[in-house]
Amino acid sequence: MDFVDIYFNLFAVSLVQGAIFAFPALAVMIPFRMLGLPDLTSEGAFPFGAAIVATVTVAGFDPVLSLSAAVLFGFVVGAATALIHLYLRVPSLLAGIIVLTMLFSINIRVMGKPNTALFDNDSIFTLALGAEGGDPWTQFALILALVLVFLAVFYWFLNTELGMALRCVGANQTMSRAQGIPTHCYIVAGIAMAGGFSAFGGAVMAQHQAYADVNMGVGVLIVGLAATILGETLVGRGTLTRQLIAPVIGSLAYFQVVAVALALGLKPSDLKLLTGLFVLITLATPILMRAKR
Amino acid sequence: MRDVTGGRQGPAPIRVHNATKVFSPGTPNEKTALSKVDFALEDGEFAVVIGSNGAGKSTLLNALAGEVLLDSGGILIDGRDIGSQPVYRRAKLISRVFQDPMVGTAPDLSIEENLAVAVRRGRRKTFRLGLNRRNREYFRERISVLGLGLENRLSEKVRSLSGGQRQSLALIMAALLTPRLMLLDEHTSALDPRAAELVLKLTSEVVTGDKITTLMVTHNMQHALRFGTRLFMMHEGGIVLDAPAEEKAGLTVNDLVGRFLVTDDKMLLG
Repeated sequence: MDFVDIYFNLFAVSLVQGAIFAFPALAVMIPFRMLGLPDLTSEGAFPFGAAIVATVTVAGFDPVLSLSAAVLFGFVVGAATALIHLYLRVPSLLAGIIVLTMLFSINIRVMGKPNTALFDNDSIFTLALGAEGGDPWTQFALILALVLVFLAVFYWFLNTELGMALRCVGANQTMSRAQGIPTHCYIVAGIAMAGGFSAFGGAVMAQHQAYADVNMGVGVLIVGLAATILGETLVGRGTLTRQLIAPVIGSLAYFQVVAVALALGLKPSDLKLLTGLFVLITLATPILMRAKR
Repeated sequence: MRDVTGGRQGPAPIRVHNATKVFSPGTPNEKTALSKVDFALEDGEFAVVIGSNGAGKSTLLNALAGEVLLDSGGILIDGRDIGSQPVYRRAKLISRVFQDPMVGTAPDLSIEENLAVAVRRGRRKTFRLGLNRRNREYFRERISVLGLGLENRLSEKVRSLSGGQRQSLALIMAALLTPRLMLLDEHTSALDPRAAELVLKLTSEVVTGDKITTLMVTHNMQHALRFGTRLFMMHEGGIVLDAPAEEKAGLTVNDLVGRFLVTDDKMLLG
């Protein structure tokens, strides 16, 4: 089979993956860019969302309710990271690592085992696209619609008085306090939202593959970071709209690049190395360019 | 003590009472930054604070703003002691322009978004949109006083403004929701002379126009004499000179330098 054939087969599936990973990519972007406080919780919130959705679904609740539960619990873990950072004075990155490590055990407790199959259960895909859960194209359309709804709501929120205060905290904490904004509350809310986004992504992923696994979070963070950076290179981050769209475009583009790499014969296990190198190169380029001058 | 009530009954609206702050107490680095500072400001009074480095000017300002909590003494605004409130709570009553133009504004937000944050200073935030046609029009009007053309750049990010433009914006923001007390922390010292002059002129207009009770810290003695209705000189954590408007009007830079030397001598002798 030649490159074109393989890539063609991967194309739609990669779009679906890219759309799902837009959520954890947003979860990486929000703390990193909007709060200026890098956070790793999304790596743990992603499988946590999957574990919650699996458990709630298996318990007999409908897929939309179980997705909402995943978002809610994602909020909680995000808030936990922020509270550990703010009140126990743990650096934000370390706070995230602690939380995602603890979540590994919690996920197994939640599911009662390391993974849960959802083959016989309803999902948003079977609800919206029929018993078979649709083909990759309709699945892509459905997820993209969800992404756009989330983005629209989030965009609206960021333009409310509350959202403006949140962005203000991200831009300048000293000034925010002087303007009467309780910065701690907003940081907790911001990181909690990121947790919710990531958990939602993990939950959709679990519904899509009809399977939740404690290990499905591995590498989510670096993919989210790569998607954010790639998206910012493609659409920029000069305006709020661009900053919000960047992770989505970046995630879609990232999985197309991955598909090309796979079609060229690379093993899936090589991808993390390549992704890491990509992020490293993108981050290092401005510094190396400056050093050259 | 000088009569500051101006014949009015009851205490002055802004009172600092016995304010004392010691940094690193009980260590070799112990430093008394404020020592029993006592003063009161009437409504609309524009007090200028001078003093050498380490005299306690910044600590006084930070204590009022809430960045520094006093060891003892109180800060009363309209009779209520706000001395234990965190910065963000005091913001309801107190606004501030910082020394560093980078600190007083949010670079990633647009000019109008910065103003929208400032117009809600210390108030509860809601799910209403932060910007609408009405408040945009209001911001345009307020910012046009600057004569810098910023009213045509409302949606531009503050990142793109010069230091002087940022301080001017910060000043408008501090006065947007008339505070009970405005704090100016050497707010022109990081600017070039022309921008500094512009911001000072604007400061004077805003303070007198809106009758804002103001405390301005400065290093520049000429500025201290030209602006304000009252002059404080600080030394070693205390107020060593409190000149009301009439006395202040008769002072020259040489008088002030003389005072500085006298206090330094005292320090040497003591």
